[in-house]
Amino acid sequence: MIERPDLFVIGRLLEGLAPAPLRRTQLQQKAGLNYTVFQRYLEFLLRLGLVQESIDNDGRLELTAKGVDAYRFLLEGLSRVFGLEIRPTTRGD
Amino acid sequence: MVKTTLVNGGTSTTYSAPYWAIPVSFAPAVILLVLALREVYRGFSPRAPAEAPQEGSVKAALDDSDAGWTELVRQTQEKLTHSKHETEISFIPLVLGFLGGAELASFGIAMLLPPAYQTPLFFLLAPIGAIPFIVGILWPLYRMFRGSVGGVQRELERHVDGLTHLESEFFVRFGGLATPG
Repeated sequence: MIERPDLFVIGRLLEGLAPAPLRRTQLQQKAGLNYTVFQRYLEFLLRLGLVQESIDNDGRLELTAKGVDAYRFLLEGLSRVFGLEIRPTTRGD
Repeated sequence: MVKTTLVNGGTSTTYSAPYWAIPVSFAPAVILLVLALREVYRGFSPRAPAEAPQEGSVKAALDDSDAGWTELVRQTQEKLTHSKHETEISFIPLVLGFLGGAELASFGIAMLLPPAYQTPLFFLLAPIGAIPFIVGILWPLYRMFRGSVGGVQRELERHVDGLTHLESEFFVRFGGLATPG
């Protein structure tokens, strides 16, 4: 049980799952967390319904619709609070 | 050589010094003047609109970008480091400044010496003392003044408040909790 969840760690975990579903170990490595901390945060995110285990995808972790919404909320909030410059994508498509 | 004559009471004293002593002596004053002019210019310049983005513009910018959490956090850390740096006064420049000030004071006392000893003191001790005095005391004071006028301290507090607010809003909205912890 996390006493005081760190918003920046939550942001990193949600960011890790934003592009595609990942296995637990992949997400743990991507977020740069040790196993114990990762387990606590994952349990927390699963309980909040921001992340779920995909049935079609070999049990990989993925963002729920609420999780996507939460990730957008964090990005917008941080950008607004700090007046950050968001550069447009340079993709050629 | 440059020569100047000072008259004090009934006696007059002539000082002579090399030409290079003049720019060296005046450099601190010129630096201060340039800094003051720069601040006046900045004070009257309109602020960039990007400093206070509106909610709609942030959403639109995010839609057109690949900005991720890690990148935004990196920019946030840069901003916080910059704001903190702007409001800090370090100890070593302060000590240097006091040493410079002491040197200037000793220069004042040295003026009581016979004229033959005053010339080198006038052209060497004054600039040598003035430079650390400016770097150590006037420069930090200038930065404090700039920070206070430019609202760096207020901006730092606003960022911290904003982050706290964002955190509680997040947990109210997605976690059903008033405040974490």
